[in-house]
Amino acid sequence: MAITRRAFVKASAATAAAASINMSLPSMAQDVEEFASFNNSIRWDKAPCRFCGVGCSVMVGTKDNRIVATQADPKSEVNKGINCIKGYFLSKIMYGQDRLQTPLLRMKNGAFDKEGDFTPVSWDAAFDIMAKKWKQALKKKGPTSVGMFGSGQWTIFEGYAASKLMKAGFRSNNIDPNARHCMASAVGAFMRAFGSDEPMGCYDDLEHADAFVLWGSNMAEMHPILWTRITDTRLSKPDSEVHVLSTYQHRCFDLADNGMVFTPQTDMVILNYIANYIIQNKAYDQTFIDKHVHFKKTPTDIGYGLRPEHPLEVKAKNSGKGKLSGITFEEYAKGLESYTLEYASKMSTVPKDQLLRLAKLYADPKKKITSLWTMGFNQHTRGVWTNGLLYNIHLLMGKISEPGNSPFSLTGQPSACGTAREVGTFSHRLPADLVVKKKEHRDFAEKVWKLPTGTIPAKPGYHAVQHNRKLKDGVINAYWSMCNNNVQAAANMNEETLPGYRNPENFIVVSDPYPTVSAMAADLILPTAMWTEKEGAYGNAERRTQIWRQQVTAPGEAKSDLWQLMEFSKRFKVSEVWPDELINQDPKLKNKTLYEVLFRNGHVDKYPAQKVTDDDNNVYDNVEMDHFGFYAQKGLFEEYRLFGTTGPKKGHNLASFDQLHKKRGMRWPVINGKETKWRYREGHDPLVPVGKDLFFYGHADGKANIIFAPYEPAAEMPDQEFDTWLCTGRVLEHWHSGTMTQRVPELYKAMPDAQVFMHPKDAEKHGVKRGEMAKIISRRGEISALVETRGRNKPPQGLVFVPWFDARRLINKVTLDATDPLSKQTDYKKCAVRIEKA
Amino acid sequence: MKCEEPLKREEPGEDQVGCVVGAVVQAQAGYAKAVRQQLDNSPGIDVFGEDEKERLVITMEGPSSRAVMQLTEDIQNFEGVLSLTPVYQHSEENQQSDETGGWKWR
Repeated sequence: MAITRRAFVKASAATAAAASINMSLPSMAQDVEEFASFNNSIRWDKAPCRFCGVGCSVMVGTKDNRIVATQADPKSEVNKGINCIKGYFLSKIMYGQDRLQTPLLRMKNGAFDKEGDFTPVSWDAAFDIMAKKWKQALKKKGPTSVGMFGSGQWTIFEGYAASKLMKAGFRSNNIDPNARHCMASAVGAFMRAFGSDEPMGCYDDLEHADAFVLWGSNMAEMHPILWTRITDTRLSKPDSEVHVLSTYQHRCFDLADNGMVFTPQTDMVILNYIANYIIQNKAYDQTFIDKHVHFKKTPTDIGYGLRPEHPLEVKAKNSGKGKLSGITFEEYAKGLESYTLEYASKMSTVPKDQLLRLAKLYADPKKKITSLWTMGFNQHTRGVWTNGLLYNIHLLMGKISEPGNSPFSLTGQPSACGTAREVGTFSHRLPADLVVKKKEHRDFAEKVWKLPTGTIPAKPGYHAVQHNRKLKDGVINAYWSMCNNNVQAAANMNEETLPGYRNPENFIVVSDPYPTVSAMAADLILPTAMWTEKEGAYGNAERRTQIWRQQVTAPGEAKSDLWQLMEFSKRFKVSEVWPDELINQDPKLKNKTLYEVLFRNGHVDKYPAQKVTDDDNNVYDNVEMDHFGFYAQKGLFEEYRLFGTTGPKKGHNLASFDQLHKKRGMRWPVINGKETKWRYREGHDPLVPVGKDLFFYGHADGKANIIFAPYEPAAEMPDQEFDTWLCTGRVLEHWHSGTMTQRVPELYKAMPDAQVFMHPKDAEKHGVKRGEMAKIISRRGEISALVETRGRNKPPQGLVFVPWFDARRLINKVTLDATDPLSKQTDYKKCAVRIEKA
Repeated sequence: MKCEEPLKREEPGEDQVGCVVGAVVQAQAGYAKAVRQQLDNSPGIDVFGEDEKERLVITMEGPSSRAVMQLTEDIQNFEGVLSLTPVYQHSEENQQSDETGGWKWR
């Protein structure tokens, strides 16, 4: 009997689900030929998920230029055939009703007007006005008057092309990614401790570890697939345990053997207490310390990264300073002495027995521990210090760079690592851990890019938080934001962000697939192709680089960020943007366009247009290749790869473009075609010299730094007038500012509005009830939100939690733009508010 | 929390494919039987198998992905359910039919 199509689909769905847990379903042995025939009507191809930093692989089923099915990729080593709820609705992010399909310029009476209405214009008209504004700014004030805000959601090629255009083309280092809000503290700590960015371990640690400790990370909602892997280990491995630390109770506490709610900022006290416990009990690994560790201290009283005239900055003795100085083990131990169990318990409010249990776990040489953290550590005015305090513990015990023993910094964006960090889209960085301030590094980048010496400016540009301040002050006048929503994301929107965007001196361009808050605040909106509407590559939190092919075409006139960047570069002649002394080094460049200099340099245009196919000979479109006439993605990637394979910093070797197209991603360093799971460890990492066992080669002597840092208070704490801590973050259903997930009706329906989560006793104290509207008021602004006292998040008394995905309730009107003075990352987890009935 | 009233849902015809999702339901220790019973009693859900770790393989189907989303919410609220993990999603509904359901400025 013929089987219906519906039965085939159900069979496929059940078989895939069963396969994800290694179960076979004998009843599913259907008519094989018919089954295959049905499946053949859909073209299947792999792509990494568009959302978080986990980097799950998804099989994308396309029919008639439309994605009709998705399946968690059973061949993926990351998600092993399972999806989270956001991944399940992935294909629908591209089909929101308000998708932007044409450039929109603010116009009045047929001409650009800052106060005009958004009016559809052609790409030519859009680039005309944009180029005019860029040239005006460059002529009047020079390269520092232009800026770009990018993203850990850019593809690797896009971030790389943007970095080239800004740093070499416009000769401005004022490019920064939204990873500044997300991962900058992690980067700072990696560089200080190990001299090389990104984790030494990988997701395989989740099966090897005996215990997991979550420090400021709600993985159950934000990294659900990794949480599923931890859950599997916890439920199947005898004596395994899960410890969860947070400033409020969340879904991870359901699995916790030791759940701890601590007072904001006192994670630093707890971390130093554990280090002190290890030393007092002589539990540390002396051999490891002797061979692999230096002891250092960092300057203290360093301020809060606010404007220089802010009273807190004026008061700070060492505002912004971070130069390390050497200390002895004894001096380090002395610094920790005051961090006793009693002090840690008193400061954090965590009961002593729970803290002691955690300290004993870390001090047990037989327990393999994976520590995980995300924004709790990173969005912290002492984020670099706090990341480092955890490394101290792992280094004291030698629990690092081996299966299961892993301090693991998770990321929030799909390519926070692959694009923002590795490509070097930060204002102070270049690809592969190089930095603009080092001449040797600039020289190398200029050599790869075939540019005259001195093209790249030596001074780091303005970082993300400064961008908004400099726009407000009229220092940056031409500004392009791509692939993010900073008006909704950046803290203190009323006082810092919006005034800059609406400053009459400035011209703001936002490339976006949807009319986000940022797009609505711009002067020109450019419609953007997203996810599988273009060929792309992302790098996830475990150093895995993944590539995908274009699957469908973007709607209307929407174009990829790569197309936009390359096309815009055609509008500038070198003579219009570079000084004579630079051009005189190579006069033939004078009349060339930036497009010719940056993208027709023999590297980027090395690979001619070709048919993109897979192993089954399916053919895929590539809009950029058709338009520019060469394989831009491949050329950009292969040029970028030279930084890792031939550059001055060791360890960033990426797999080739073609190899990555065949694999479900590979973890760098990739050497002789093989990936590396555990960096710095002999036997796993071929860059470790023979016989060294462990070698932190980011530092010349192969040693890591244990860095003492004390507890210092948060920038703003509750007082009589504003008596409550505010913590912000995400929820499962929505990703970041909700640009994509709010357009998926199912996810919108599941969580339509941001709520204010609070303790029932606090609700009573403030005179509000569950389901009523309450005002959340800070010194900077206020919003209203529905009160939730029984939801998934259960704050302690004195703290409220508000997610930031809701464009109709902009909690960034309330938050404080205090940053870690070293990483320049904003602390979105701590400021003081009061609650009133709305 | 138990599902308090029977689920009433329209099922697509034999030759129609609305939205079909394959998923794994992880039950709490000792709850697999009770979870299976609740799943078996729910229209639109079929249970295909169960393993020794108390994981159940199911499909959910409905005329639209929104209807299936409702099923996922219901299952997550069943007594004894620790997690629900979708694996495979197939949707032949008209994407535009969901236009009225999404986010808008208001």
